[in-house]
Amino acid sequence: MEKSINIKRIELLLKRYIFENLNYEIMFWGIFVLLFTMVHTTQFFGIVLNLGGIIFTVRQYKSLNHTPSGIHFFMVPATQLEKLISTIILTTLYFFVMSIMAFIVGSSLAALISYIYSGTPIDIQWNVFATTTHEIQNGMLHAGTASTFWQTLGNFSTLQSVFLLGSLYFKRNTTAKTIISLIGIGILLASIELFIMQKVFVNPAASMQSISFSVSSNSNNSLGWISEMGGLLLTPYLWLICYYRLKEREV
Amino acid sequence: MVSINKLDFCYPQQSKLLENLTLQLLPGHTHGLFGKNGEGKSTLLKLISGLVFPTGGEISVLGFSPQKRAPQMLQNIYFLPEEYPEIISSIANFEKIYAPFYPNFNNAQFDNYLEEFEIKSKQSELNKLSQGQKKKVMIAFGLATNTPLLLMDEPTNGLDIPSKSQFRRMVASAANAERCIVISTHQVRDLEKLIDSVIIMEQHQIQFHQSIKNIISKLVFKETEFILPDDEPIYAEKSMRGVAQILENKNNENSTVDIELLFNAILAKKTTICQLFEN
Repeated sequence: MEKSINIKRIELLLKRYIFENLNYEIMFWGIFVLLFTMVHTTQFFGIVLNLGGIIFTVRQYKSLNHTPSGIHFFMVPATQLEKLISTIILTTLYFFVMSIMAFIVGSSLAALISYIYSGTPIDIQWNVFATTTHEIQNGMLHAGTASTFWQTLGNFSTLQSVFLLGSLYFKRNTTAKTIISLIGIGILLASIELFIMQKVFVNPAASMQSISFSVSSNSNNSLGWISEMGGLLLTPYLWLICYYRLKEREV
Repeated sequence: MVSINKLDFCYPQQSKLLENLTLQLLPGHTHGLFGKNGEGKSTLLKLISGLVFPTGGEISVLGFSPQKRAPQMLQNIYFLPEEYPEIISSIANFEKIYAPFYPNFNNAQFDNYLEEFEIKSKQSELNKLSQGQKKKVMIAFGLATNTPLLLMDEPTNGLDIPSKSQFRRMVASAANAERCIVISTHQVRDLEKLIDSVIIMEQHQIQFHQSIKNIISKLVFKETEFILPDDEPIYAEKSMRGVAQILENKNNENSTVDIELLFNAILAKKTTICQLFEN
């Protein structure tokens, strides 16, 4: 138990969460199963995954605002990194896997109920990560399928890291304040971009159009590469801020 | 074990709570930490535990800086706060989750302490226990961790009369030469005969820190109907039976320390009393 990252301690922290939140977990995932029994489309899965994820994540560090709970949390003999890793595992991997399982259980229940009452099974899209693609080959339009698993997991992780940071920064109304902050940052970035465009180009509107075209049309150019790298690094960067925020947090 | 040097602390947008505070806590002692409301007793315990960070000065706990909250330090400290969060878990599960974090945790000891506190079933849900019973579980757990440093904030608040004497017995049995126990409380009567060191906080600082042995050798605590002509009390106050007084121990008399009286005396005659201990 002397290292800064100890797997045993992370395991104990995860166990601690499950033991202390068992009733909440049963209720939470029960609602998920019920929702997926009623609606079992891939679009609905995406909505429930992201909205449920936000609700689940903002709750993680809410207890730190309550002094006795904060003392209880910080006095657990584990590093802040281990505490953060266990929270990341819970808010991303655990939540993601549990959502898929809830979807499978909910959809299976829906199929079973439908079969019992009408005698015909309903059509369920089991692979929630399959998407239809269109390609033009030799002048012909070809339709195909592609898996969006990694893309969904990546986007979900980013969203979770944003709200995890929000739960560490804001004491009350975490969700609303995080969303407002995101809008504020968006406006600020757009203003900076517009300002730079005005300085560099004579006609900013036309320039922006040409740049956005070049980014989306050719990801091999430098701007596209920077955009992709930025997207990939955003989540670990937000986790890093979470870590320092947790380290400096007092009760 | 705990070394605090010129410590300053204030909460954001508030005036200084602790200023230039210096304190050394050695193993093998049970310290009683006393002070008026808002003097910063609980904050001092939080600073030692790394729950809040000093604005100036240094703290070293078991050779670690508490701000870093290193697990090697935390597994050797048990902080028993005045209030507990809502923990939805049975006592047995609580033990299963938290005991592995403390390398010296003794399960048999925990069972014995629970038995002594008359908590019969470990299957009882913590959130369904009364505040007093929950406190008993936490005290039992804290003692069973066998951490070298045990910090208790108002541990006897909410305990019934029999439990208070059980608490004293348990703490006395848990104290040893390697352990340092700090108990912060307003309930001074609960700690008499338990502590062997008195720490009094006032005006953002430690005003008095002496062992009971030292206090007895320098001071005599008396309660008489009236002040005798030969008596020259350092401090006296009216009591139920007449007058409670503190005198200089010139004739090597043996008396029992009245912590409440000593506390009032320090507040009223700090310089006179402290001078006696400096000689």
